[in-house]
Amino acid sequence: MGFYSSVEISASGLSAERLAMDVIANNIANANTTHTPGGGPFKRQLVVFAQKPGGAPETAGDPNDIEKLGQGGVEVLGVEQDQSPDRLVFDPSNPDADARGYVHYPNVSVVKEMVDMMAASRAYEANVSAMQEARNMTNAALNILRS
Amino acid sequence: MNDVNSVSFGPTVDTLSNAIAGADMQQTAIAENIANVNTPGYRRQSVSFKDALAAAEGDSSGDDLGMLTNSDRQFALGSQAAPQPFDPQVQVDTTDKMRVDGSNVDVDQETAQLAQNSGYSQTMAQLLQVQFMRLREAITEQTH
Amino acid sequence: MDINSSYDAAMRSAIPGTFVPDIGTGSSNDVQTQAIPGGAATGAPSFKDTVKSFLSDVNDKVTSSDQLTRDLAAGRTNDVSKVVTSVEEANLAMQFTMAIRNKLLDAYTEISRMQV
Repeated sequence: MGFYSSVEISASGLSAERLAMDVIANNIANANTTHTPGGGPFKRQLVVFAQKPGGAPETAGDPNDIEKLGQGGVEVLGVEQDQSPDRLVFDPSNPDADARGYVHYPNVSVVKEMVDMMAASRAYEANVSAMQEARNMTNAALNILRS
Repeated sequence: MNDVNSVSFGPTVDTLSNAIAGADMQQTAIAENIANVNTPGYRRQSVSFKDALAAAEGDSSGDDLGMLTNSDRQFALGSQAAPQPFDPQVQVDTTDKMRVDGSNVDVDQETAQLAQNSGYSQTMAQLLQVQFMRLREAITEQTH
Repeated sequence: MDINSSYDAAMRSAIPGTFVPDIGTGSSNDVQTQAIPGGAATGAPSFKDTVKSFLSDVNDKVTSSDQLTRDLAAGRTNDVSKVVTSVEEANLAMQFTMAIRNKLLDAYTEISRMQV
């Protein structure tokens, strides 16, 4: 409770958002990758966030709700592949064209990835602000001793 | 925050130190909301510590506990209900904002609350410092 | 509280007579006060009353600044500048009273050391 749990919670947010940024950057870099080691085009990846267990009060008026608050934060459950269909482009002359003449491109929309990147970046900055304010509050309380 | 049997330096010192503790709890709630801004299904939390502060001070609307004074040189305390211990509650905000991924955290609002809460906490710390300085002046009989 | 005029009044009523350290029980018909030539009998506020009004002024300031501080903490007011002003006034009033008290104690000690 207090300073340290608040900083840990913000730190969990920072690492989660940084992972999201990495995944988004990877998606954008591979937006046109038609070959992957597993065969087939690159599939868009997404990060699954979840609140850390024990971070929310179970019922209203839970007597331990303040302690549980201190155990909160976000965790990444995993990185999953987006199973939506590939982007098909009709190009029979391409060596990667399938039987019907379509080339399979990744199901990545660069515009959507940019929007997600902005959201992750803003969330990252907000987590940094939260950590800084926690530190400022603690310093102000410590100043009481100094006079 | 303080045991009723322990020495108290006055209601203002108690209120201020409870205020700082409450602001710490609110800061933790805000940090969790910000960390979970992109978590699907997350509902934002807050701590209602200001109401708990007012309750801990006691209400001045009760009428049997006024202090009897027999000289106008005594300081008459206002009648007060029995003060309750400082006990803030975590509240979960279940309203749904229209977000596709389902978290109801507005990161701008949380950042604004962050700044406001931090300013409040630092103000309370300053005022607490003033209280202690006054006590120190009275004890050492010296001004600064 | 008009500090300057209270202090002037205090000095004016103390100098013509001897020094009266005891504030008394609140009645202005104290034997000690009447025995001092040039003291309260001249109609100027007696030194004792001046000191009492000082102290009750300071006490009022401190009480009201404490109440405003608690109001700010509990969210009943949002006017930080008003709270800060009242806190600083109370501090200055306290420090001023302390300074006067120290000076008066020093003066009393010095006078009591005089060999008559």
